[in-house]
Amino acid sequence: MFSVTAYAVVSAILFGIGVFGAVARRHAVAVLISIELMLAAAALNFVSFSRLHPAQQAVSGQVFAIFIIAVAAAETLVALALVFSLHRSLKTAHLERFNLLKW
Amino acid sequence: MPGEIAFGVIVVLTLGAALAAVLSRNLLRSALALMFCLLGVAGLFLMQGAEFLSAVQLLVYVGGIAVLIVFAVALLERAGEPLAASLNKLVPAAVAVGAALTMLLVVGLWRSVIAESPPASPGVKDIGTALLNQYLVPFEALSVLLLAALVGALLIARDTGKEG
Amino acid sequence: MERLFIELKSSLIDLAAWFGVPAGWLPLLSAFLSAATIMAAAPVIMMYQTWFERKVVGRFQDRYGPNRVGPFGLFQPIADGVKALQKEDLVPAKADKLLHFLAPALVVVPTFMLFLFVPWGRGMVAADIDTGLLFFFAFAGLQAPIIVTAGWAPRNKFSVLGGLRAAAQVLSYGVPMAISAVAVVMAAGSLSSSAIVEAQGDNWFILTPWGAFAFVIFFVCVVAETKRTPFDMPEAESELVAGFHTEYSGLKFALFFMAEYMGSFAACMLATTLFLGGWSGPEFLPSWAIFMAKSGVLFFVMVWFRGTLPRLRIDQMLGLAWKFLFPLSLVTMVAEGLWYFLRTDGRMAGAILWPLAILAVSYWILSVVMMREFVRGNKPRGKQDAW
Repeated sequence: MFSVTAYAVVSAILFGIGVFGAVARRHAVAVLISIELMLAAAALNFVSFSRLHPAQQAVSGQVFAIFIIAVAAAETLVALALVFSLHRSLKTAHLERFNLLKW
Repeated sequence: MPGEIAFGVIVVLTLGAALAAVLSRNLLRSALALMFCLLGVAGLFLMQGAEFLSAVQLLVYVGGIAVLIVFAVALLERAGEPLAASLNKLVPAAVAVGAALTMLLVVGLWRSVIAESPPASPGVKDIGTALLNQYLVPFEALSVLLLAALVGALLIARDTGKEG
Repeated sequence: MERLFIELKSSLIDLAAWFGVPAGWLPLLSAFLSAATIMAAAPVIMMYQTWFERKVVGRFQDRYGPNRVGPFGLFQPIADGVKALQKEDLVPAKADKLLHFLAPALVVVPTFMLFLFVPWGRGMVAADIDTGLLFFFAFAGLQAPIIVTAGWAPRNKFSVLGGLRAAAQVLSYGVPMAISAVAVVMAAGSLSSSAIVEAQGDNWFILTPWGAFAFVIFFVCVVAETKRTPFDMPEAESELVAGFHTEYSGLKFALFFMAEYMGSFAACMLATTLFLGGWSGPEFLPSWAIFMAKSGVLFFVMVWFRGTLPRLRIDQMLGLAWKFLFPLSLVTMVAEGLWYFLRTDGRMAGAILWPLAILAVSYWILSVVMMREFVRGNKPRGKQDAW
């Protein structure tokens, strides 16, 4: 099955799983993992649809996917630094406990 | 026929690993499942003829990002926090939102007519040329972004010596 | 003789086609045959690597190596295998059983895949894709998360620390390794290993000035990637017990051991491909024999390092990678650019000479500063970091 639709469907399902994880998980790193799933799904989508264009323009999809991967790396780095910093002050990384700003 | 089987196997691996990543109680298994899912996505890139991208995905995403996450989980465990990372009370809402989004996308895809053309697979040379000509500014901006992320992460995670 | 393996494989495929295998499945069969050959050959090569290493290290230490089991100790690896298999498989009570079981197997898989991308002979690359070299580095770096998992699975503080250190080592040395390989890719014009070998012909890249430097950097990085002495901090007996494979006994330990040796031979093969001209050599010898001989010579150099050099401390090791090899590899890459463009395209040289010169000078300044800092920072300190 090399149709673009098949790959796009896979990317949609992967994205849905990522959304579920991002909303329903308690631990900060688990939410980060779900966000990575969503980003991977988006990159897959870019590459699948780029195949529809002639070769000159098809390169854009792959270049975008490279950018997505690099930005995901930067984002993971900063997110993990934040998790560590929070863990050091609050001794936990469960998102429900980050409620110091509540009145 | 072998192409379809390979596709099916890789899709099962990817989606199964993704489910394991979001449902596992043990954070390290979750991180390892993420690694397998990204391996599967690299396989899907390879099946579409995007060889360079598949290698970059393996190098950066799996060999970089997944490593970062696994490092973080291993170090957090050291700090004494039990790794029970279960689901919170928003599970029904999460299932509803996730399922609705997925259904929307899948139905939209099945009902749309996407004109098939012969697959175009640009080579490494084309990607390199595009990166340095059309996409030069985003490329350079990306390096600045990575530098900023590195410095920022070091600053945020630095142990300043005082408690709290 | 030269095309022995190629002819063998194509006759097997013709046999399968004659037996009625549909044509769509034949490429899969071909891939399966290559993979099966590698899976059979690599462990045998690994077994005799261990024999070779023990004999040679023995001679360095003024003693015979193993010589009891079979003539010249040739059956020693088989005895070692039997010993490893019959040991009790201890799993710590608090360990994560699934990960403890999977980790050794997962470490070995990327190592097997490394053999797919090296040209074993003329026309004998198992997976001849355009970006083969990049995949090699991708699979070499794939070990890092698996090593951390292997260290974490037994839930033992020393094991976790050992895993983190080993993964940091693998990741840090991957960077100068990849950059010095980029210099080769620039000279050859392609990421495919067979194209790199063909681009060298008779002037191997090691014979050029930048090539000699790049080879030294690459080889040192490769020795460190595969965690061999003098970089075998992760598995030294006096450090953190045995590092990340402390809690693995019997067959699981044998799998880690196998991954290390196979990885080092695959890395020797890659160094041969990139710098020593791969399978090119005298016409009367088959190309695969020349290739194996060259890789064997490089492995001998690795064993020589092991018999001669003392071990580096973890901070010295990481400092060497980032403050010494990394700037040096950047300078080598720029030097290669200068060498290549100035020799082939005089007209273009004018246009890029200034940017290249500025780049070269800045990298040179960076290297000098970092290397001085490395040397000065390497003095014995009173208070060691926890790392």
